[in-house]
Amino acid sequence: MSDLTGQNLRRFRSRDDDGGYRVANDGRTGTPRPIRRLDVPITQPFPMVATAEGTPSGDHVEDLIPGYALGALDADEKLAVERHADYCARCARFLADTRRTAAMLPYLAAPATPSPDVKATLFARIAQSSVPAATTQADEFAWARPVSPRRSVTLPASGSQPGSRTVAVATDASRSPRRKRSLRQMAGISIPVLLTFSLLALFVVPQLLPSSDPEGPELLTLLNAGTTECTDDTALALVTSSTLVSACGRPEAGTLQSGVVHWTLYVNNLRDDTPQPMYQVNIPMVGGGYETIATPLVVGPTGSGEVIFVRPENASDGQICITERGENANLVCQPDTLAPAA
Amino acid sequence: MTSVNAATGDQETREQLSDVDLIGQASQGDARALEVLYDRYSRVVFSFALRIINDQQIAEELLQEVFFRAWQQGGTFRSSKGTFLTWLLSITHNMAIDEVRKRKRRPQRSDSDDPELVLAGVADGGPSVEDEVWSRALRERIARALDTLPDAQREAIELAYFRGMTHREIADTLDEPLGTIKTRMRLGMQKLRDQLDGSEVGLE
Repeated sequence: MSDLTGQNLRRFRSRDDDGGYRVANDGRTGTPRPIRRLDVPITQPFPMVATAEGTPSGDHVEDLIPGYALGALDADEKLAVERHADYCARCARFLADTRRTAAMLPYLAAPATPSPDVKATLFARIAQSSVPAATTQADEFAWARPVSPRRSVTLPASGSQPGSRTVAVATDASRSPRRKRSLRQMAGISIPVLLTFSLLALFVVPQLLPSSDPEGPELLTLLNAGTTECTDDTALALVTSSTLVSACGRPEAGTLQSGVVHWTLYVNNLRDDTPQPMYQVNIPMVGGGYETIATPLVVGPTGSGEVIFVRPENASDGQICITERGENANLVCQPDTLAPAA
Repeated sequence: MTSVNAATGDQETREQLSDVDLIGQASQGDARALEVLYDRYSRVVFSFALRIINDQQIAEELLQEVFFRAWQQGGTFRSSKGTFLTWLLSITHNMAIDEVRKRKRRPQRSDSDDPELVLAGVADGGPSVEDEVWSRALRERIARALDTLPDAQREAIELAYFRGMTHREIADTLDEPLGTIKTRMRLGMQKLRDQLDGSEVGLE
């Protein structure tokens, strides 16, 4: 259940080139620029906040909630609980209580100490994981890395609704048997996320830049739907979600504004050869063209990063495009400059 | 020597940091920050994994995978949703249950499927690590709380959480109606919550 208070607000700042922080949607450091209020129609309530004792989505699910907290539900039952708890305060409270209780069960385990070899192996593997994927074929996460470190990515904005949306970035490795095997193993994957992937896959046409373009910034990976992993709480892949800052939130002055829709963009698989690659997010606009979000997308060495920004006015349903930072970056997002994916 | 001292000092500084700060640094590529987290929680994770999997070697492999996943995907941790340790144990539970379910699909030695092993584990002894969150006192308190439940309720909870059974599978295994199993789980978890109310210090 996401709220927009406390430490969450730290995500609205990202490090700039000089190591300082700048405020989302403001390309300058210093006093935050007020975020524009949008005229985006709100067609559904903030999806992760329980709003009433009752529910529009059916009977209470108290009999299923203990099973949810204990991991004992089938996928359809789990989905039913999640949907219901989004709107039912009573069941959301019971769910939170029950999960808190279930979270104590691990401490029943009798103390045991692993072999020291585990630590040595783990950190050797971590040290190796920072090298390009081509040299780390032995680990099961290889599917999550770009085959080529400099490919393209476009993300479907598809955002006439401010509700949550989720997309995934994958690479050519998504076609590999290893990745298919890994996906089959993802028992924790969330059904809502999968459903959203399926819908978004209809919009997504993976496209690559002409590699011969010496001027434009290169795009970075190839989009495909379906690569993600989820715990009960967290989608571990590229996710965009809309967040309506509710009046009961505690927006930080100058960064969040009540009643405004913010988008959160999580990415992975964007690792580059450079020590700390910097990317920018380009939003397709009604009438053509892109608006570049001033806040850079900072991606760590593991290829993951995130940025939160205000949904621009007149954003269209086209594809969000992530490029390396540069003056001509959003030009490379234009469909007529893109070639079909290989 | 100076650089060695500086490195030692850096690590000592890291050891003073909160879990949230450490996973933040780890997600930016600081493996030493993850090392501090590993030193703090590897035993908790391993103990929990071993409890579910009941196989030392596989539990160690899973321990490595859990921390490798934390390394790769620590940026997705949200402190607003719970502690880092809760997040880590949630990953552990998911992965361990996956493993249990995979093993169910393969021929297994029958002793590893003996429910008595799970139930008996509650009272198992072991080396006491008093300074850990999962100290003996806490474990015994949770075990006592679990012991106050009627056997049928405790069994339903154990089979679900530590055996990775769905409540339909539990109903089939125990030859009880599905509704009965749901009710046992609900009543059991409610009673457990009441018993443990106020015990969550350090957990959330």
